[in-house]
Order: sequence, then structure tokens, then C-alpha cells
Amino acid sequence: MMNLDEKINELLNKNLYELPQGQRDLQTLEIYKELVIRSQKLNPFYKNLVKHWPIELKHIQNIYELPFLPVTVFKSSEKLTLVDESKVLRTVSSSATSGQTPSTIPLDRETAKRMSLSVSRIYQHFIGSKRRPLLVVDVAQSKSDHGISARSAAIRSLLPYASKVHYALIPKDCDEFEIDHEVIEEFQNKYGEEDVLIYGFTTIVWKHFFQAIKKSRFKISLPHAILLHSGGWKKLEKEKVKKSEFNQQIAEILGNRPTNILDFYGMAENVGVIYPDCEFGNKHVPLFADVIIRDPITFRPAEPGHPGIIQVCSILPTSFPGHLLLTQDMGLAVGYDNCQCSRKGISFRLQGRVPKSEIRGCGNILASIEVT
Amino acid sequence: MKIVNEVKTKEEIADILATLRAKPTDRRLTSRELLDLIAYWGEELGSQLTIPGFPFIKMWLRKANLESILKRELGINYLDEGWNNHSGISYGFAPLGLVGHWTAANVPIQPALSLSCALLSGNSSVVRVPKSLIEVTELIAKPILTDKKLEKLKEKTAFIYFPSDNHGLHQAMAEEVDSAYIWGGLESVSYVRSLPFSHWTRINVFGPRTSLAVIDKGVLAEKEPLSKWCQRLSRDLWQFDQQACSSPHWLFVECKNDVILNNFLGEMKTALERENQEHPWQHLPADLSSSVWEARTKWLTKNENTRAEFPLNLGWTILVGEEKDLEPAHFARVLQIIRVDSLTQVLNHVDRNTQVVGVGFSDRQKESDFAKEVINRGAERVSKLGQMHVFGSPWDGQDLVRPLMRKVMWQQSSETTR
Repeated sequence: MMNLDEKINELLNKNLYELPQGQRDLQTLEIYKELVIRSQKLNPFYKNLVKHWPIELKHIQNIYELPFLPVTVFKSSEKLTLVDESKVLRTVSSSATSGQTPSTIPLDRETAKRMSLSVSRIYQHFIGSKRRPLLVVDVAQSKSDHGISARSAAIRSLLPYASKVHYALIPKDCDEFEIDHEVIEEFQNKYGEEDVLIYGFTTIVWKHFFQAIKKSRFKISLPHAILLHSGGWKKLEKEKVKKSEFNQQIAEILGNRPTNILDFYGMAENVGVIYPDCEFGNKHVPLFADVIIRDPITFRPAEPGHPGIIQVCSILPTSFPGHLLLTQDMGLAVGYDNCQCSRKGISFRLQGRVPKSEIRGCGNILASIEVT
Repeated sequence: MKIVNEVKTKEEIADILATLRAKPTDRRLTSRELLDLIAYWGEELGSQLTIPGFPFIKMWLRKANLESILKRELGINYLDEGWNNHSGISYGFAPLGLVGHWTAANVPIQPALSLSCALLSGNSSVVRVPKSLIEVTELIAKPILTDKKLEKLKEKTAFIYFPSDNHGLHQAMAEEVDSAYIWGGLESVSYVRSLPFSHWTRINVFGPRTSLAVIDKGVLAEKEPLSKWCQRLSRDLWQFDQQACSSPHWLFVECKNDVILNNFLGEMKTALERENQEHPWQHLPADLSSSVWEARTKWLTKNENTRAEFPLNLGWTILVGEEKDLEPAHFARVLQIIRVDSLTQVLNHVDRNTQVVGVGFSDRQKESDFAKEVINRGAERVSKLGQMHVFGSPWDGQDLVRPLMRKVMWQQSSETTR
């Protein structure tokens, strides 16, 4: 009889996208239940939540009925940890959007190891295992932080795929950046005809790379580049930059194809799981994770095509109760087991942040400027 | 025929206001005639039960209700067009002229309620309707603008819409009115108050407030009617989806006994679930939905002793704790039940932001003393549970019709009685 760690590791090493949704649910439901039971024993605050959950654990028959946590709980509290501080290998902080405190996620050795392996397997699946020159659209990162940001974590996760690493930006004053034209020119002169990787946070790629190059009319040609970006679209929502426009325009300046611009969804709290776009523009979920699109009223899984709040699930973390997390993002399920790319399980698309509704209350804690 | 007209320019507003100010060619309506017409409007509304708050507007517009308000606020002789005489001087009331209404979006019947106060006082009105309330306002106001019998009310009424961020049009409206009724949350009322009203404009603000409820130990000890108290409180919670100023967000229960508290919670849960089944959410924005889950989780993970009851859906939420656990209002049918040893502890939570204190007392004297205390501390109304939302006069500590009138005097020129 396998213990919990063995069960998690077994799934972590299986084929990522081959099992249909129903079968993967069967395999993972009991693991999630064990994670809930284990987390209850290790954290009294989490135990209190589970104690008051509307459905008793023994009666739960579906993953969506399991107790989940909103991701914001990790922004406001460090109480929800499952390991002693001495066992924390490092912490990962989320990128904070305006006005918010970032989450701080504790990683023990096991969780950190699974996180690295998981990300590595997902990357391999989408971009292959060959090492390539990597151009990072960011400034050079500190190597030895105990606490690292989500941005640094993302960059680090790509280093095993890099034969060489170059950083395209240099810091300016006040958290601003500028393009290092020399580095980019050197990169394209050396590797222009080869397969290369480019990575950056979505907003940084758009604002500090693409717009700077366009403005400077600097000529760049990297026709065999795959550009990976993550970090989300929230900061670009205000500028109304759509993904199709982003892909098209970036591909134009690089001289490659829009299908080589890969957005991947992920968050610090959902350690080790990233959701790249497939060739048909859908996101897929590896076997050891799940995504539930929740109807905002019933909170049951929404039907395909109907938008809802995204919940991310993962069996990987054991240093904090991050296995079932309600995000602040909206998405919709495109379908189950039927994407043209042949990857099984749910395929979904992001729709952006949960929109701020017209705030109506007379309560003095709420601002009430109507948006209509 | 459009009932709510979108305006785009200052000139359009000026034209509308000029029309409202134009004197009618026939005689002025008497107070009784106005009352009869407004009551007729209420009757013509029929039974459009799908509008949130519809029972209130129907009840509000009943003749008996309006008549009692007029008598209470303006004196027994008001409807007879009589003067009140005092020391040889006669006093009466006259309308201010033109009232501007800035209504909030959280109470669908609010434009109509606000308008009715102005109509009762003989004023003309321009009502700015929030975009989300255009449809429901058109339903409620339709009789005024389409029924020939209500032609006189139609002459006195204009419903308009323009985007909330159009400062120029807000300004154009403010500059021309003789009185303003301003409803809404903190930012809205602060903004509208700062508009350049004329120096004579009387400004009345119904701003951001929250409400709470209390139940004393005597009520908890009574077995038979306990479910009734819970049903009443649920009804108060449900109206306007807990987004009105009069919606209770906290219930303080005077209780030291776990068994009694558990019994009460069981009844409360039943009452809320019944309400949810009869009136499920029609629309719940995703961010409010998320915030309810955040409230539930934060409550249960703040310490090991907090309790909560809720279904997997967003139908209702009870958060149970002690005074130290108390949080700001969450809205969206989230009720914080706070256990206290004595209801005197509640006084610390009543201030000028408190609109209503809903009460459930078994001891009349205790209730009377408590009511006086909370009123001294800032609460405007003390209502029995189940009636927290009943719109009436006074509201937010002020009359509803009287502020839209001038108190006038007549000093007779001679002693002659001819």
C-alpha cells in the first residue's frame, strides 16, 4: 500500500495529458481527500475550516465538493503552513497587483522538488527537452534568495533548458527598465538562425521589450524563437491589449509565427503547475492537477462555454494547504477530452480577472461611485 | 414612449428644467388632489412582484400611509389647506419649487420613492436614474407618464439618465434645482454634495449607513416563537440582497448557554434555507461571490473557535463568534452572529453610521431603555425584527416631505373679519 508521497510521485511521473477526465478524477479524488485529512492534522486553522465545511469528507464524491481556500488567504495570513519554519527550504512570493499584499508560500524540500520536476515535465512536453540559448526579457536575477518572487521562480524554472542565458533588460531608476540593445544584437548575431527561447513576464515583454523595440525601430530577427510569457494579463487589461494582437505584433517584430508565442497561466500559490496554450489556443491541465470553472451562484462546475471563477487544484504541495485554491480569475471550460490537440482532460480559456462589479451598498465601507 | 430620457448636453437639461418650472395654465392642485393622484398611481402599479422592494412601494403609496405622513410632518390642517395659527400669525407650507434627485443603484424602487416625496410636497422633479435601474423605473413610473388621469403629475416629473462621470451634466442639474435629495454610498454622496448648488438650495443627504440587530436572552429562552424571530430576521436580511442601508449585517445575541445558542442557530439555518429556496439569487457578480468565500474562509481560519454555517452555494452565510471576531459588513447575505453576555456591549458598535437597530426583546422596559441608548448614540430607527426595511418617515433621522417645503407665514393686515 503506497503512502501519500508515493502516490503523488507516481502520478507526477505518468503521462501528463493522456488520461480522460473521468479516470483522472478517480485517481486523484482519494489523494485530495488524504491531503485534506493530513492538512487538518497539521494546522488547527485549516482544521476549523474543514470542520465547518457543508459536506462531510466521507460523503464527498467529487473534487468540486472538497474544501477549498481562496488564494487571498495566503496574502493576509502566514498561519496556514503545514511545516515547521526549520523545514522551509525557501518561500515564493506572488506578484502583487496594485494595492495588494503578495502571497508568501512556504516550500519544504519535498514540495520544492516536486515543483521543479512538474514544471520541467510540462515544459518538456510543450517545447521539448533540447537546451537552447535563452533570452530573458528581464534584468539579471539574484541567485541565492531564500525568498524568491514568482518572476524569479519562473525564470529559474527555465534554466535547465538554457544552454546560455542572456538578459535583455537593464535596470533604470524607480523600478523601470530599458532595453540592452547590445545584448539583443549579440544574441541575434550569434543565434539568429538557431532554435532559441525567449521568456518574460507578459507586461514586461509588452511594455519594456516590444514597445521599446518598436519605438526605437531596432531591427530584430529571430525566426526560430519560441517566446514564452506568463504573469497574466491583468496589468494589460486597462490597455485593452488582446492576446491575438499581442501574439501578432510580437511575432512581427521577432520575425516568427504567432503560434510560437506561448502564454502560460500560473500562479505562485499553485506551485509547480503551469498551463501553456496548446496550438488551438486552449489551456490544458496535467494529470496531477485539475481546474474547475465554478458558477458564481451555485458554485458547481459551470457547463462548457459558461464563464465562471477558476479554481486550481494540485496534489503537489504538502508544505501548505494549497491543493484546492479559488483564484481571482475568470475562465471557461471549452470542453472535456475533446480538444483538437488530442490532450485529454479539461481544456479551458482565461477570461481575465474577476471583474469589479458596480458597487452598490450604502455601507460606509464601500466606495459607491457608479460605473454605469 | 421613453420614460427615462438619456441626456447628452447641458442644453437638454436646461430645456427639461425650464419645462418643469413653467407654470401650468390651469389652477394649482390642492394637497388633497395631489394625494389622491399619487395614491391612484400606486393602485395602477398592479402586482409586478418581480421587482425587488415592490411590496414596499405599493404599501408606501397607499393613501392612508401618505395621509398619515403628511399629517405628522405638516400638521393636521395641512390637507384642508388650512393655516396653523399661533399668536395672531398664520403658518403654512409651500413647495420649494424644483427638486433634483440623485438616486443610488442598490434599491430598485428608490427613484420612485424619492419622486413620491417631492410630488407629495407639490414640487416638480428631475430624477437622475442610474443606468441599471432604467428598466425597473420605467415599469414603476409608467402610469405617471402614460395615464391621462395622471397628466398633472406628468407635468411635474422628468426622469433622465446620463453617465455618472459626466461632471458637466451633474453640474447643470445642480445649478438649477431648489432642493436636492441625494442617496447613495460615501463617494457618491460626497461627490454630489460638492456640486455647485445655488446658495438657496436645500440639500438632503441619505448617505451610507449600516444596520444591526439584537436578540435578548428572554427571546432565546422562549421555545415556541423562536422560529418566528428567525424568519423575521431572515426576511430583513433577504430584502435587497442585504445591500440596503437598513439590511442587518450583525446580530448580537445575549447568550451564555451553548445549548440555547445551538438551538437558535439551528432555527436560523432553517429560516435562511427556506428563504433561499423561495428567493434564490437571480444575479450575483463574481467578485461578490468571491468575497463571500473569502469572508467564510477568513472567519474560520482566524482562530480555532469561530464557527460558521453555509451551504456549498452562495445562498446564505452565518458567521458565529465573539465580539473580538467582529468584522465589517460583507453584504451578499452574510450574517455575523456575535455572542455577548449583555446587550449593553452592543452600544459600543452603534454610532452615526448606524441606520437601524432591529430588536427582539421579551422585556418591554429593557427594550425601551435600550432603544433610548442606541438612539442617543446615533441610530435613527429602532424597529422590530422583520420590519427593518419598511421605508417611512422619519428616514435617516429626517422627515421625508417636510424638507422639500418652505415654512411660510401670513400676518393678517387688519382685524377685520370680512
